[in-house]
Amino acid sequence: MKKIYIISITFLLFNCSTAINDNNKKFELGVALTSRQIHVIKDLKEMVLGFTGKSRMTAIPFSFAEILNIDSTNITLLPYYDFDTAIFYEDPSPEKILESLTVSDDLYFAISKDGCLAYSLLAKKKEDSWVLSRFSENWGEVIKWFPEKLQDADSRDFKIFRAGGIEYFLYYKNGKTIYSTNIGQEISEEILCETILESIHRVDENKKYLDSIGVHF
Amino acid sequence: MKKIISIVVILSTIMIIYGFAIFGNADYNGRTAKQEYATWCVYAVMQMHGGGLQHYYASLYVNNFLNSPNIIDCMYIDYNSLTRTYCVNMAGVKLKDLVRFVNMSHSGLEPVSGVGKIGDCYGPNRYKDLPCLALEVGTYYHALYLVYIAIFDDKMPDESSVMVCIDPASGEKLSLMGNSDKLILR
Repeated sequence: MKKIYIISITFLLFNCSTAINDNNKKFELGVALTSRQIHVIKDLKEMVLGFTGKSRMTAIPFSFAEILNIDSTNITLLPYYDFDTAIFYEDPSPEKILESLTVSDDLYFAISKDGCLAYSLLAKKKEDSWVLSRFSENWGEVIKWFPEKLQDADSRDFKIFRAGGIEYFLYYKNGKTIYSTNIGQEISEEILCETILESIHRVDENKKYLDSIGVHF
Repeated sequence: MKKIISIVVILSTIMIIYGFAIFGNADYNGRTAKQEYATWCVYAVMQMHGGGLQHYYASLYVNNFLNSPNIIDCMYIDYNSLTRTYCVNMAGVKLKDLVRFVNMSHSGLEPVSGVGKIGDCYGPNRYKDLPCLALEVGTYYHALYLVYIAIFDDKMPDESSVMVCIDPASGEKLSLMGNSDKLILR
């Protein structure tokens, strides 16, 4: 009888841990890193070590110091795209949005801790090494709606891009392209097209103003 | 003048002791706000800073800076197509209006007199109250709530400095490096 209890408990525990693992796995976004991308992470870690070395403090006031513990996390590469405003502006239309996306040279990483999405890193190439450009410490919390949406999608394919200062997610459902802000607000192609156009016009206008006051970028 | 000299002395001392200077509040744990529409980033930053409602700031801008035919209340976006056009599509604050708008907004942001690059506004002998409104500039213009900036090795803000801010588009807390493309009100 005792044996049956032990076997049953072991069986239950095993199932439970498998369920937890499955649950965690669904929060993995993106793909595993290649050896080249692993080197990029090393560069970023070196950069952060440089910062923390400069700080001469035991408690470093930068959340990106988390990167120093990155070896104990799970890192994936996100499908990050640049939005080419020049392509879009040739003939602006809702359909043109997709055509204006080009694979970015920057690398966008998602970092999961204990099976949950935690933060994201954007790395840019600078001369021969890679530098940290953007660290979002609560990115996992912000986009926690997305893995579930992706499970109901036609495929696991998705794209992330930034336009007008806002990060968008694109995925496919019922044969349609769905656009959403990174906080989960769905936006139609038509409205997105208008929003991007407005942003482009504003850039031109603002640039003229900056030129007129002698501020140049 | 005395105040400025004291600040410079304090910051320089901190830099010598710790290797970097922090302008602003590294322990910021204040309110965050998400912009209600794609063009409302400035209003969300104002809400983060001084409270108030985004549609109040939007109405203030629309009625004072855009030539709307009637008084428009951005609280009722769907009142008619004109309201939506003015309050959503056209309501992104133009850079040329920003200084005057900030000064009339009652958002609690410090009075300002112009815009400049972050590198021209911060450094060992320059100081400005933080948190404040900053702008990402490039293929788009986007307002951020700049909480603090860390400058290393007695330099002016450059590629090595770190800008910590809250993005009103998502509520993300961001650390940004390479601040050559950032604007600030001064």
